[in-house]
Amino acid sequence: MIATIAAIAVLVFFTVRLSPSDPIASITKGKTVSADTRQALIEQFHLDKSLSEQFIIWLNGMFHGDLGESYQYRQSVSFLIKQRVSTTLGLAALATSIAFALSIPIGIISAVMQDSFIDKALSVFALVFVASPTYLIAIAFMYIFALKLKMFPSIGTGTFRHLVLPASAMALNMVALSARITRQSMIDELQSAYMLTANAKGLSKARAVLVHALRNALIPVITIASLQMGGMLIGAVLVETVFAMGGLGDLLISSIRSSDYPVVQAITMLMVAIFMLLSLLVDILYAVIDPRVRNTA
Amino acid sequence: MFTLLLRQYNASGRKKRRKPISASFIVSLSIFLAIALASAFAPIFATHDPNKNELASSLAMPSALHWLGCDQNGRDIYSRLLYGGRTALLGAIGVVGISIALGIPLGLLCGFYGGLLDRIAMSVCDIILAFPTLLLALIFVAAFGRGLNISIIALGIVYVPMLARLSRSLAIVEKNKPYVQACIALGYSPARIIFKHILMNCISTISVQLSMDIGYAILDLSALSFLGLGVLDPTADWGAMLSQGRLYIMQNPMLSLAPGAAIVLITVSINIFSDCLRQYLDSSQAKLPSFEKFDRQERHKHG
Repeated sequence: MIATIAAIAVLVFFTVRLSPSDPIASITKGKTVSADTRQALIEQFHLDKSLSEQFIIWLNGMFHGDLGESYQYRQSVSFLIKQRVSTTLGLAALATSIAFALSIPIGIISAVMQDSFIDKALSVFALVFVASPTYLIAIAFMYIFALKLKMFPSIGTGTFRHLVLPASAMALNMVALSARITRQSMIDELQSAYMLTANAKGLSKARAVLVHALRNALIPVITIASLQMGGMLIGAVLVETVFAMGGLGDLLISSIRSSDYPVVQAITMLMVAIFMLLSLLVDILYAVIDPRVRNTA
Repeated sequence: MFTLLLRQYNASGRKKRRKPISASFIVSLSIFLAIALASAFAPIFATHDPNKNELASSLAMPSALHWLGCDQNGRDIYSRLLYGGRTALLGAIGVVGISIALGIPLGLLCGFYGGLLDRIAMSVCDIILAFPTLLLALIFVAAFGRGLNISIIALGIVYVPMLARLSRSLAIVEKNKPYVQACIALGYSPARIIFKHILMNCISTISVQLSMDIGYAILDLSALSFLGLGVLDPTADWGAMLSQGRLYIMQNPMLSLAPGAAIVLITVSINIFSDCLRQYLDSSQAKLPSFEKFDRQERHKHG
């Protein structure tokens, strides 16, 4: 894992620095500056050194919590990130909670009532929302709930009410996908021999489904959820753009547009680190849910 | 004798159980083909020049002249929708084409030979897979500049690892089957065995993955364009149209709803199509372990 992170750091740094655009133009926002100022800026941002030296300076800074200085804002990158990280994390956390709270009951209901009208209606719903881009759902939500019904604020950030619409928009995609997976794996589990045993020894249907089958059915759901986490981070970027929330996603996109390398590098590394941490948590969760994983490891 | 064995194996591998084609298969395929044909022959079906600004009809509502209204520059939405379909489909084909050209040979070679090549290639794949889907594409765009071509290349590279790992695991399964032993005994060259015999036996599983990838590629490309990093104005693209249309949503919601509906319609039809394709091509595949499960088993076996 350490090796992977190191390789990712190399990849991120050198890919971003391959950019043909002039960093000084990005620092001065395109204004022409005197040769002296230009020279001073080049020295301040270590642009006179070779790429590998710059990489070592960046890496060394990261170990000391110094992510460099933003070209476009002329502020320290860690300060910029600290300002915005809570919006993005809050959004992702709320979206994940909504997704789990909705998708597992939906999956169980449609598995238990397989081929009923409710099941069919729910699968059509899932089919449409799996295929809908997050930003389209976000725009539709904004139009209906914020602009037409005026139930929630349309843009900005700060309060919980600001988070509801973007988080629901982000969640819907994941709800559709994991409800489908929950349904399929619940159907498989419901046909298994141990469900017959549970029935034979007189367990109530609710207990057999919710305790015995659900536990086994959750494993593939978690696998898909862990793959979806990365999608969630990207979803946050898209949704923040729609709702102008000023989170990390907004910052990333504006930095890409204005070739603000230090910010792009820092946010990318942060997102990859969060993604890897979540994958690690999922592996631990496997062991909690499935004792066989514990025994083989 | 070996030739006989080989022939039998190929025959049994290619024999298809005749199954009735389901209605959803036909419906999804015809929706997809309708959109594809409408985009391919966009100049015939379009009522206006997609890039011509007519400021007089700026933000016009749907009418007999402009079927879906006009955008802020007075460009006809319906005509731009058709040309946007070209961008989406050609882009997706480009993305999947790049991932086929790199991913399938890489995966098959890694699976067949194993060893150092396999280890290096798979760790590179792991590194790419450590990035959340679009993030790596965003960095490539940051480095090489905005534009449709860069987005297609970036996404094509991002799609390689999944395909490489899929074809690798299929190649590992196939290479231990008797027909490969027969091929080796007959003295066939490794290239012939890998790209003729093994590939042919994997092609149905791979083609299902490819059909799904087309859907994902359409979504991802439109997301990049939505963020303003994909196509550049004035090229018509559904993602870019959505992004511009949302600013005028109160005046004419059709500006973002129409391209949004187009994206959803084509992705839904591709998803249903690939679902049906999987069921049609081989019913026994449903019983195989899922890709993730198989990958985990393989890793356990090899330590």
